[in-house]
This record gives sequence, structure tokens and C-alpha cells, in this order.
Amino acid sequence: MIPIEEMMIPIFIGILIALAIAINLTNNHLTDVFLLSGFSLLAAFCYVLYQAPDVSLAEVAVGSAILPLIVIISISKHRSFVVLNLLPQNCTMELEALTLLQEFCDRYRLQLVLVSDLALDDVEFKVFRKRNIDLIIESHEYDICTFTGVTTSLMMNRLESRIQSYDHFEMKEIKEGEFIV
Amino acid sequence: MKLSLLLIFLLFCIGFYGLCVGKTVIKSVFNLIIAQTALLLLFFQLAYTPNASPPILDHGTTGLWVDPYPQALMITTIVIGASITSLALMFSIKIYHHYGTLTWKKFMHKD
Repeated sequence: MIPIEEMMIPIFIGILIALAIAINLTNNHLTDVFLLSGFSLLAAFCYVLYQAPDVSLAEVAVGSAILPLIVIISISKHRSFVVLNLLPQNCTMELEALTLLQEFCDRYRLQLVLVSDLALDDVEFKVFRKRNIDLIIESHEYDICTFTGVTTSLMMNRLESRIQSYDHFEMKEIKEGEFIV
Repeated sequence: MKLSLLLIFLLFCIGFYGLCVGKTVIKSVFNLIIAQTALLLLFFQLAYTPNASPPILDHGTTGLWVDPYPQALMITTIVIGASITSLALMFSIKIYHHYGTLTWKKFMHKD
């Protein structure tokens, strides 16, 4: 007779395969970290079924506690926050949006770098011509200011939860690799 | 037995494929962890004997134990895998500060 552990092993490896496919299909790094933590926990259960409890203990400690911590710390280490400012000058909305962004950057210890449209001829901008831009603020309609950012960034989730309390700001998300202009 | 081996091979293939075609550096690092887990499972599958107890003294009365040697090797693999992952993530921070992006396609085309 086949023991029940041997029957359960292929089922759990099947769940591991499903989680691995899910890690490859998501677009958000934060979701990836949680899925990876669950992946390690299920793998540790598989090791118990393979009669290796000591390896399972090591995997629980390292794989589902320490590694997600390291990954989250390293994702949040990406510090500078480049904002392309396309708002019309000297409007009241610009001041409000910039104050919000400055507060946001101070809270998460980011370095706010503002790039405006006029600075395209600037000397500094010619040196760093291919600058990667994290966020674009612009206004297509009267009284509504649009924040455009990439979905894979952790900062966008935080900024989105911050923006929701304002009614004339709105958040627009694009995927990594898409182009706006 | 053979089904488990096949599924482990499939898991390794998913990890290797994601390592090659992953969009960002961090996603490639995650797929490296997946491939490593598949390797561990392969070693355990090869050392597995049915109706055996864990390799702890005076645990079972059958006297049939799983081979403890691959398990000792695999603990080493887990620790080394964790250090490799943290090293790769440190390189990803360096890449981000140098190129300003973590997407493979973007910084492969820059100088």
C-alpha cells in the first residue's frame, strides 16, 4: 500500500508550480514578495513530507522570514524620485501638488528631483539626457491634476493611498515598458 | 515517484524560463529562488524511501531511515542560496543607481 505522504507529495508540488507561474505573471513586486513567502512555506511542508524536518526548519526561517525582509528592504532602497512637471505655471494646483509630493518624499526619505518641460534646454539636462522618470504630473482638464506612474513601483501604491483623500487629484497607472507620448 | 520527478522537472523549467525572460532584475532573482527549490526537491525525491522515518535516533521502531546525507547537503544549499540572493539584490540596487531603472530591456540598450 502506498503511504499517504507519498500520495500528498505530487499535489503539493503541483501547488508549488501554480505559485511559481503566479509569481511570473504578476506585475507588482510587493505581491511577488508575498507569493514567494507562501511558496517557501509550502516548500517547507514538502520537506516534512520527504522526512526531512531539519531542512524544513531552516527553510521556514530563511525562506519565508529573512528573504522577504531582505527583498523589501532592497526594493525600498531605490531612493531618488524623479517627477516630470507638465502643469501650467503659477497655478494654485501646482503649489498644492508640489507640497504633497514634497511631504511624501520627506516621509519616505526620498530625494525629490523636479524636471519641468522648460528645462529640456538646460545644460544639466543635456548631460543626463536619458533620465528615467518615475512620475508625471499634468492636467488635461480644468481643475483635475493627473499623476501618472508605473505599476511595478512600491512608491506608487503608497502615493495612491495618499492621493485618495484629495478629490481633484487622480492617479493613472501604466505598465512597465509602455510609453505615453 | 515518476510523477513527482516530472513535476519537479517542470518546476525547474518554470524557474529557468523566468530567469531568462523575466522583465525586471528582481523578478529574475525570484525565479532563481524557484529553480533552487526545485533542485532541493529533486535531491529529496532521489533519497526518499517509502515507509521510512526521519533520520533521528530512537524515533521509529522500524529501523528504516531516510538517508541523512542529502539532507545535510541541502541545509548548506539553503544558506548559500540566501546569501546569493542578497548579493544579487545588492547588485540590483547598484544597477538602479547607475541606470535609473530595473527593467532588463531599458538598461541593456543604454551605454
